[in-house]
Amino acid sequence: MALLSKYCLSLTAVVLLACQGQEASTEYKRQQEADSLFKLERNYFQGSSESQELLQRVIDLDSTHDDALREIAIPFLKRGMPHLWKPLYDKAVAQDPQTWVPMRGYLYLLFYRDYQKALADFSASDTLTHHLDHPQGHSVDYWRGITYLCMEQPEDAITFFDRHIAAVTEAIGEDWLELEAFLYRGIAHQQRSNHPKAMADFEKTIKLFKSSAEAHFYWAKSCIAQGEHTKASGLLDMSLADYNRKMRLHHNYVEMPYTIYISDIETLRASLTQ
Amino acid sequence: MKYLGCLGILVLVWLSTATSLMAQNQYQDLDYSQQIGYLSPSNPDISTNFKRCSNRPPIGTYSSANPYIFRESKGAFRKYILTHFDNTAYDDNGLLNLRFIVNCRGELGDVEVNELNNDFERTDLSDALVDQLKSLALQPKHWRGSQDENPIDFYMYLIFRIQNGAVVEILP
Repeated sequence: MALLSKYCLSLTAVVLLACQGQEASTEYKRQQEADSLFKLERNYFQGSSESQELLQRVIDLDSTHDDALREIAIPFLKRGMPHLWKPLYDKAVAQDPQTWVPMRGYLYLLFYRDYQKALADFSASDTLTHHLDHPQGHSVDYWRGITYLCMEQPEDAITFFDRHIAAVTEAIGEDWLELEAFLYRGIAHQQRSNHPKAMADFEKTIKLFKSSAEAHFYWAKSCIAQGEHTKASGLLDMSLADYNRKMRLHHNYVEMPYTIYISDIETLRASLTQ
Repeated sequence: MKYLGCLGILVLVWLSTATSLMAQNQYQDLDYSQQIGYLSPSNPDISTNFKRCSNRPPIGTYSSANPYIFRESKGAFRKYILTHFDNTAYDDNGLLNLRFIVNCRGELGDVEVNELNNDFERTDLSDALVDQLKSLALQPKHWRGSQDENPIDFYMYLIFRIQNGAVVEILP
């Protein structure tokens, strides 16, 4: 009887192990199929029925597939449906916060101008990873600089732009910095009425990038504040020329902070003659 | 007794299947039969006798129609809204989201309105605030029709960020 019990226990253990092995194998196959379908999805127009249904199949196969969870949310973001974007995107965040929390901060900043939520995500990224995150190709310090600038806290903006500019300059060189880093730091200095520093940043923007309607425009504003009207007039000419050549702030989906329009150039020029 | 056993097994199978389907369907509460951003022609129109110019999907979903869709500029549109919007009667906080079609003649229709709180959940903003912003923003004079020789329609959305009844941001 005791021997029979031992046999039964052994048999049960073998069956359980076999089942576990089969389950792991089935899970692996589902993940493999999910990855294949995710690659196939790239052939379809983003946000189309085919694309969304394929992504849904990926998620049904592997509910932890954070790339699919993120991708299925993106058309709702780009097409201005925040109430449908957020719950879907948050599922990607839950699966891989290290990747998607800093990216969500960038989206809160540029797509929704929700500065508190953006800062919360940028701060969270400091502890989620040991490195400085770069959502959408720019450091979180750069994004924090823009966030504080939009919040009209220029001192904090300058702190983060200084840190970002110093880090990139030391790591790979000044000419790898983005135009906006100098432009926005210049605007922050201008907001503090530190016009010499503001003008230095606008001049640096033009030196590195040759053209920028915004850099010439805000440079002209600082010149006017310093009483240099003749120089300001020339800068406004260059701003208009750059504007007409589409050398201005641009984003495929949203208006960038501190974007200017022709009416802004005209208004500033009118102030010169008053 | 035998029937009871069979019934028990059937119930177990049903429960197992239902649980599995529920797990699969947890993300399937959205309808993907149309492309994302689709606006129903049965939605309210602004322009009288509004009709789309094309059977093709409108431009402006993959990449935004902003800023080209503004007749003058986004800056001019913002200035118009901020100078004409009277917020003295409101203390709302949240987002007002308008989605609509601008046809090739610059006419507006198929409008959808979403009232959201600051966590992007549906809420109820003051009716008068919503009506005022709709009437200010959805005027054909703000919007440019197709410049293309082929008649095409544009998809556009707006999000007004409202703070204590005032418009603090106009997106995108």
